[in-house]
Amino acid sequence: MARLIPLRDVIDDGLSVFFDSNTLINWFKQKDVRSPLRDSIVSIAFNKRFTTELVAWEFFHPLGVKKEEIKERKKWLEDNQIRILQKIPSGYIQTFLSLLKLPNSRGDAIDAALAAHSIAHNSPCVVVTINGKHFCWHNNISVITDFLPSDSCE
Amino acid sequence: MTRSSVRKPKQEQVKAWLYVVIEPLIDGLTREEFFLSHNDPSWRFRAKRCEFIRPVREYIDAQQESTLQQFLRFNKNEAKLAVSHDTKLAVLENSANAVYNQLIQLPEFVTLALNIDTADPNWRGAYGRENASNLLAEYTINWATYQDIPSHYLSAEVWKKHGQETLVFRKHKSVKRQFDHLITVLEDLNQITIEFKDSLSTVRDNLADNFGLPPVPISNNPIFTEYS
Repeated sequence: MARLIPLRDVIDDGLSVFFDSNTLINWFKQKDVRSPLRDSIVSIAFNKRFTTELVAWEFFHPLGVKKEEIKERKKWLEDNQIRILQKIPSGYIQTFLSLLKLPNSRGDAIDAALAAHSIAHNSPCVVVTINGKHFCWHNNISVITDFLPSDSCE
Repeated sequence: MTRSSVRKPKQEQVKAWLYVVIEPLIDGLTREEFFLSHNDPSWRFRAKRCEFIRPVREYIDAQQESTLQQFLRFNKNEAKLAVSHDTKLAVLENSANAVYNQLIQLPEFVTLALNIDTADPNWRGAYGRENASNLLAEYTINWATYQDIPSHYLSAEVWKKHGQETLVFRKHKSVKRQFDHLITVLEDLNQITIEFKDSLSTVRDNLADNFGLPPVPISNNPIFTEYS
């Protein structure tokens, strides 16, 4: 099972934070609604907020989203200072291939790529997801507990 | 020879300063200016921090921390402004926190928040009724000078109806002194932010001209180009 880390420890230890697609989409859709979870992002330093290019693709370009909304999504991501990782960590492909072979791996390919990024990343990092089952299946993935539904990593 | 005695940068160093230090810093300070010009600290009660006004180092890629430090070693005036900025930001966050703690203890303020909540429970989004006064205190701190809150905010209607009577609490005898202090700190930080941004722009232009470099990267992030 993944390492589960409270947000407080993530902030205190200055860990990099990787956002998955569902979290971004969920937060974007509720961008004008105040919520304790949404407000938690304020505690994460600007330069510790990241996502992958594949998550960004899924966030910007889902079917049925108009060009105006793509612009809005882009602005939202920029306003929240969530940066797209610009480098593939060494060992990423090998990590992805090893995850591919695991019978208990779950989730879509974009989540798997984010998982491989987080394992191969050259400094400690942690995933923000609202779907624990997509990430909780591997010992070397760290997931922030605060955003998980209570039963999602069982 | 000590590191501090090295004073003449090379082109590669300057390139890094321009593109990974100065550019993101100017972007961040520009965003700060917007909020500070409205006396809005963008302070959040849950995190007890400002959302859009951040310490200087947060604007720089964490892996480029040493490039930031090198830039500041070579540029003493900007180093001084960076320290002033972060020191004043810490004072601002403490000041907002102090105002908030006072406000949420005022029984009349809590009553107003609960009355608003009874009339329109949707205004607080996913927060519970128990957070009504926390949220209202946050808005009282942040939203004093806006004419209108954009209509897509859930709280826009409530603020239109109750903003004025809420803002009266900024003059309440038990918090007025703290609010006055908060405004002074906001104005001070606004000055520092403007000075820091102007100073960085000057350094950027001088470096770019002297080293024959574009002041900003030619293509920053191609993924966004079409939508910019």
